[in-house]
Amino acid sequence: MKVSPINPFIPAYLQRPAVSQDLPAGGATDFGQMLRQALGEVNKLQQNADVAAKKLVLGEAEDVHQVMIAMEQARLALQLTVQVRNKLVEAYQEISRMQI
Amino acid sequence: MRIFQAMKISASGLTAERFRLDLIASNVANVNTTRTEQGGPYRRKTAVFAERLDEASRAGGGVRVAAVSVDRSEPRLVFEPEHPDADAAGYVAYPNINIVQEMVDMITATRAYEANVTAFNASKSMFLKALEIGRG
Repeated sequence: MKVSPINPFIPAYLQRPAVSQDLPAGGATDFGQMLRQALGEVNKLQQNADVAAKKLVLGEAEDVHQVMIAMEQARLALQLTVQVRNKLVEAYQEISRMQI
Repeated sequence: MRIFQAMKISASGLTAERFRLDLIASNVANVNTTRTEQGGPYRRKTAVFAERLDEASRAGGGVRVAAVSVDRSEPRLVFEPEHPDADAAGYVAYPNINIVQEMVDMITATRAYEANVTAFNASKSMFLKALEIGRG
């Protein structure tokens, strides 16, 4: 007896990642790349804050407010990163809870 | 990051006002100075502010100190013949600084600094509010 293969539940055109074809090659819209870039910027802000705090401690800082602003920007960027991570984890859990 | 543009602008305002306070402090400190590098008494200094341009932002880049202008008004003449810097008639040229005016300038500089801090905090709370989108 011949067993016919199960028809794919998801249509074939949805299985393929549509991103790779529609976008021009070399575009920076790859999600991973975008995330890496954003994380790099957050890291840069953290390093800025570090340098500013060090300068303040060593007495080289020109302005107190520059130090405070650098630290505040680093804090806000980190909070934004944490929120993005929360959203990602949330989405992942939503999918992993899905009944198959 | 563009989201920090408002903070950058506030930071430029803070720096400018702090520089203005530096000049006011110098004016107050030199209120009785009769000798300078250029000769003659100290002259009152004020800051000239200019708008800072930023190609990337339509809101501009804040403020910058364009120049330090020197007040060319007449020095204050006080009759002190025993002073080493007195002229032939016995008058000493003291700086053209009015301490009351310097005090008023000091208050405006302080308040302007506070206003910039308030604007900074407002942009910060807007940022934090945006992070609350979709929460709860």
